[in-house]
Parts: sequence; C-alpha cells; structure tokens
Amino acid sequence: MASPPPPKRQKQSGQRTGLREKHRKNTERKEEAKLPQKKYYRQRAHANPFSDHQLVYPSCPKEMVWANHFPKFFPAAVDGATVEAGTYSKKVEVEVADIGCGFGGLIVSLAPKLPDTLMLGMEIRTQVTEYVDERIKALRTQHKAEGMYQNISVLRANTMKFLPNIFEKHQVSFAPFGISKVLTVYKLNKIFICFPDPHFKSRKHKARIVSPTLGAEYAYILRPSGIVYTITDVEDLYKWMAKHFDDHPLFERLTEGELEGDICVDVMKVDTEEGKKVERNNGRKFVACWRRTEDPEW
Amino acid sequence: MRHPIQRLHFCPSTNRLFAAVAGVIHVFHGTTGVPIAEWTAPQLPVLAPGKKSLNKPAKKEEEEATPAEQGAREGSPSKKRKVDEKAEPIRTSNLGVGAPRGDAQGGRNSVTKMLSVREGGYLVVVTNEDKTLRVLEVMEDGALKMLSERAMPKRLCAISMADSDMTILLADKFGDVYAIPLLEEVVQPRPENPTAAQLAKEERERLAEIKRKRTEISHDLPFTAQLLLGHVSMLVDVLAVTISEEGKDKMYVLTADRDEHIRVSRYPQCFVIEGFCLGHEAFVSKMLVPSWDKTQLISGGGDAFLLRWDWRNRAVLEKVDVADLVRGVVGGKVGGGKHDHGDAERSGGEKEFKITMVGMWEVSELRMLVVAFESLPAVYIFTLNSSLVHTVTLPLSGHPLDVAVDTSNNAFYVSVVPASEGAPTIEKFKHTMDQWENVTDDAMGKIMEKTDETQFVGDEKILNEGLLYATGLLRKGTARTEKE
Repeated sequence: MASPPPPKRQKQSGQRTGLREKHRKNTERKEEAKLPQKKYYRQRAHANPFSDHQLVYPSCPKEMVWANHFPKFFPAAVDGATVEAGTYSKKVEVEVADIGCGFGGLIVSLAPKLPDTLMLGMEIRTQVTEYVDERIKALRTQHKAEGMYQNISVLRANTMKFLPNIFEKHQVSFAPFGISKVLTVYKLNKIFICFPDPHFKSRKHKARIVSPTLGAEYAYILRPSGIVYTITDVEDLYKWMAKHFDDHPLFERLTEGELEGDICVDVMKVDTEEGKKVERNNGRKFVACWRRTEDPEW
Repeated sequence: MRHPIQRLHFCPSTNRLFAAVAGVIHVFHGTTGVPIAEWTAPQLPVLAPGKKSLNKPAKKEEEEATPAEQGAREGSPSKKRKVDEKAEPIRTSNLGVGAPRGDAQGGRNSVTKMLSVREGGYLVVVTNEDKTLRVLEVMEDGALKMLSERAMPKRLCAISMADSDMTILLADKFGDVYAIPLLEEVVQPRPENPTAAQLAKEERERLAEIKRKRTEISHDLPFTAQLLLGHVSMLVDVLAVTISEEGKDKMYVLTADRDEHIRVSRYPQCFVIEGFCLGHEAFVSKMLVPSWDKTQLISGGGDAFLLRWDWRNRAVLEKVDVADLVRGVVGGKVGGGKHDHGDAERSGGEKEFKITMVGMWEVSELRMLVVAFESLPAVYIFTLNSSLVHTVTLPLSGHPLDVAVDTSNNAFYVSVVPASEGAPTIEKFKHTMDQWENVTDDAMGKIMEKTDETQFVGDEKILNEGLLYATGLLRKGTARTEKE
C-alpha cells in the first residue's frame, strides 16, 4: 500500500539549515505573541562552568537594571523614562531565584501563583536563555489584559561564579536621607536548584552546583528563614546535595511535614520540564529543602 | 642565559635575604650579602604513601584528581603505579608538554612563594611543579632544614598566615582555601615489610572506600587540612587580617579571584561571607592591608587603576589611576580591562600595553607602598596616609619580578629580568634624606655572584609564561585561557 516513509535525513553535525535563525527572527510570530518552539533552541545539556564564555555580567549588583526585567513593577520605566541602575523601590525586590532555570517551566508556572513576587531565572546556555526570554515576552503579550507574567524574567548567567554580582547580600541595612531610623531590606527568599547537571565523574565535583564551598554563597544571598529547594532524579546527586547542605552550618533541613502544602514543592515536582520528563519515564524524584538559619555569633 | 631570581624575601628579625632561583633558595646576610646557606627543592615528586596523585602524568591542570578518586578511576593497586612511575619519570606539565628540562640546578620545580614566619624561625615554601608546600626550619646559622612537605591537590597561588603564624592559609588554582597547621604531627610511616594479610586488608579497605565514594569527593589529604572556603574561579591572592572590633579581636579572610571578586569571609567561620568588594573590571592580582591602618585595603591587578577600600563596609574610598604613570615609562598606548583580544584592531594596529600588577609591598615605617607592574622596567612609590598618592618612579634595568622590603633599614630589593648578559638581576633601593637611592655595593655584588650561577637551558617561552610573566596570563582572552 503505502511506501515506507523516506528515511529521516541525518543531519550532519555542524550543518546549518537556517531553520533556527528563521524561527527566531520571525517577527510575525512575535507580533502574534505565539510561543517559541523549543526545538529551535535546543543546546547540549552541559556547559563548562569554569570557562570564561563570552559572558556579560554586571560588575556589582548596583549595576543590575531590574526595571528592564520587570518594567511593570518599576513605573518610571513604563512611562518611557530611563531608569538608572541602582534605582529600586523598597517594595520591589527579586525574592525568588531559579538557578539553572533551563526552559523556564518553574518560573512560568509559579508566576500566576505568586503574582506579587518577582522571580528571576538564570541559565548559562545562550539559546535556552533566549527561548525563555521569548516565551516570557509572548506570555506577557498574550495575557496583557490580566497583566500576568510581569513578575518573571530570565538572565543569562554563570551563577556559580557571578551570583554576588547579581544579588546583594541577603540583608541590606541603610539609613535613608532625612529619616533617623535604619531600614533593613531583606532580599532573596527562595532559591531553586532543579534537576542540576549531576557531573557524575567525581573529579568533576567542583562543577556541581552544590558543593562544599558554594553553600556559603547561597547563604550570602539568601535571607535568614529563606529556603533552598532542590530536586533531582539522580539518587547519588541527591545524596551529595543533601550531605553538603546538611553539613553546612547555615542550613537546616525541612521536615516532610514542613514541605507538605508548600506550593513551590508541587510546582517543582510537576511543572518543571525535567520533572515532566522524569514523570514520563516513571523515574523517581528526590526533593530536599533547607532553611537558611541566622548567622551564628562571631 | 642566567636564571633570574623569581622570588625574593627578606626577614627583618634575622636580617636575612632569601632569593629563589628556579628550585634553589639562597640565603644571604642582609647587610654584607655573604651567602649563608642554600637549599634545593626536590626536582622529582617524592613518592610517599598516599600521595598517589603525583604519580600520574598530569593531562591538564583542571582534570587532576585527588588521591582517592584517582584510585577509583584506575582501580589498580597503588603499589603497581609506583612501579610504573619509576619507569616513566618524565611528567608533562603546565610548563609545556615534554618541555626540555633545565640543568641540574635550574629544573622546572621552581619556588613560587616564600614566607618566613615566627620571627624568621621557619620558612614556608611553595613550589609550582609538584604543588607542594614545604616548611623549612631556619637554623641558628641560617641553614635550612626541611621539616615537612605536603602535596596539595592543585597548584598553589597564594599563602598567608593565621592564628599567630601557626596556621598556613593556602589558596589554590581550583579556587579553594585550605587551612594547614604550620607544624605537622608526625605521621606513622608504613611498616617496612607488610605481610600479605596486611596488604590484602588494605586492598579491601581501599576498594570499599572507592565504592563509598562513587560520586563522593574526598578532601582527605594524608595530613591535617581543613577546606575553609572556595570560589569557582581561580584564586590569585589570600590575606588574613585580624582587627579589633567591639572589644575583641576578629579575624577575616580576604580572597581575590580571577573574576574580579574580593571576598571577605569570617575566620574561622568561613562559611559566613561578610561581603564582596566589587569594583575591579579585570582580575585582582594583589591585595594589601597596610599594617598601620588595617581598615584599609589596596587592590590592583589587570586594571589601569588601583582601588583603596574600606573593606569592612565594602566601599571604594579612592580610585587611583595609574595609566598615566605607566604611560610615562612605556611611552605608547596603555590600558587595562577585562579582555585582551580585539584591542589591536580597534586602535588601528597599535598594540596596547596591558597594565598588569605584579605586586605591592609596604615600607611600613615610611607609610609607603612599592608597586611593580609586569613588563615595565620601573617601580612606583606611593605614600598612603589619608589617600594614596604617587610620589616617585624609580627606573629599573629590567622588568621587575619580586620585591623584598627590609623594613628596619627602609630599603628594598627588586629582582629583575636582566636586560642583557651583563645586566644586574637584583637591585637595591634605600631611603636616605627623603630620597630613594639605588645602592650598588659589595653586598649586591656578592649576592649576584651567587645567584648568577644558575643557568636556564631550554625554551625561554616556557620560563617566561610559566614563571616570570605569568600574571598577565590571568587576563581573559590571552593565549592560555582561550584554550579552555
């Protein structure tokens, strides 16, 4: 009857079809606010965190122009006025960071659930970051009436090296002009580390996103009582992450009971892209969360 | 060619000058320049139980393993590998694959750090090739006696002392800082002739260990070592500063890395980061907290400026531009900054001289700083009181490598790359009558006579990039970093 389908054309490595470019530059799609297609943004799953890349990063957190990421939350930017770096209002602080956000499943899913919380996804792969950016733009346009998805954004970053360039210390005390009281602003409240690259070889341990020494940096940006959420489908990696956060003096493990009812845990399990994949493959998911404790007495 | 003196160190309490030429440390009398003693670093890694990581030809710095994991990868008994090592003693190294070795004295295992501690009673020495920290005892007569050697997993970039000189802080290329006691308790050596049963037991234990540590990483070194903190970027400098706050002495650890960060951590609670001093645009290669005002920090590196900080509040107090000063000596276009590439095209073919700080040293009595830049035949003197002010530029006969300050005499030595065969390898400046005077006396002649004995045979590029002009290679986009 029907002839067998023609064999799939094998794409040689490095061969450029131009389809990706075409899709990404497609202004029509952007105008219609159609979601970008993931297949045009795929990139190999590993990035070397030690490499310099061609990374653009702020030299200090004051240089982060948050108004570019969350224009609706910075009214000055909406009016067309330029917002200077360092301008921030007390109320508007990024409170959730998704380290290695991948295709952005987590923040997109959390956006309507925590509409007043600013969330930033960070991803090291350029093309994947571009996808998330397009996705958020399209979602914002689609839901313009409801004003949704204004509270999420994405940034290309090597968080292992440059977290302190992006986020200030968890707690910033300052005395505003004319007020005698010292105000304290608390920063990040939640950090997500979802399905990180396991870097199986033990000699690559330093490339893992949770390591004996990186805990100090997470504690630096996370406010006391803030929470680190981790999830992985690799048991060995789970043990590794658990060991190092458990051993860290500034983190305490949340009990099963405390996790129950936490909306973020459910989202992390079900709505992340990797979470869905693991679901399809009937894999196991290991969830562990830690609370940041107060700095000890000197 | 004569091997330059790559490291200098002066110990005021014993009035001795230490000069490291390749793997040899010469000790001189500080006033007369009479050679007192010398010590040579072992040129091949010493095989000791547990130091297996040294036996493996290093493929790439970043890819090396700690002893435990290496066992996991190769799965062969350690005894066997020792035999292999003997059959193949030449290791490839960062200095170049199969690099020609120097002569007997000028081998590749060069001294990269020297520090005398506890009033000159000990000399802490770091060598680059075997990544080993050695503690030498300085005897009454100046002779050096090795007390301990501890091989670290990664190449060491900086050392500093803490806990009244009883703890050594070691910063490595992997971004980690370890705390190691100065004096190591004696480790029980392996029994001479282990019985078969003992060997089998050890082997069983070793295999069990490997199984346990499949994704586990062991920081267990065969000696006492505590991993204090870590950056993901390569560390370039480490400082321990004790300062009195709220009625008690508090100690901080300051670490500088290749990605422009200066981190301020507590000690010994290093897991608490007090903050980051962010403001540099290129790598930070040197930090200095002046002994007369410990609330200040001066930092410099690949930028065309130095920064003066109130480091406890992470605030820049002053940005001191040095581009004009450098231009005064170089003559051409100068600049600093993050990247190396693309500048030649932009400036119409003229290659920009990239400012790279080699180091800063304080002359505490005079409240002065000596600042040296790479490939620049001069040192700059700054005074530091309420601000950092350049006072004078002292021309040198060659490119500076290291400076050692004789604080009791307000003098300093500079080791230089000799510009020609007859040119000096070391110069001395002394502060008299408000002037810095270049001193050429008998003592200097004696020092050079001794250090000039060491010859370097082989590819000069290897010597330059591996030892003498290595700081500039920290800049992103330079030949070495592009390979990543």
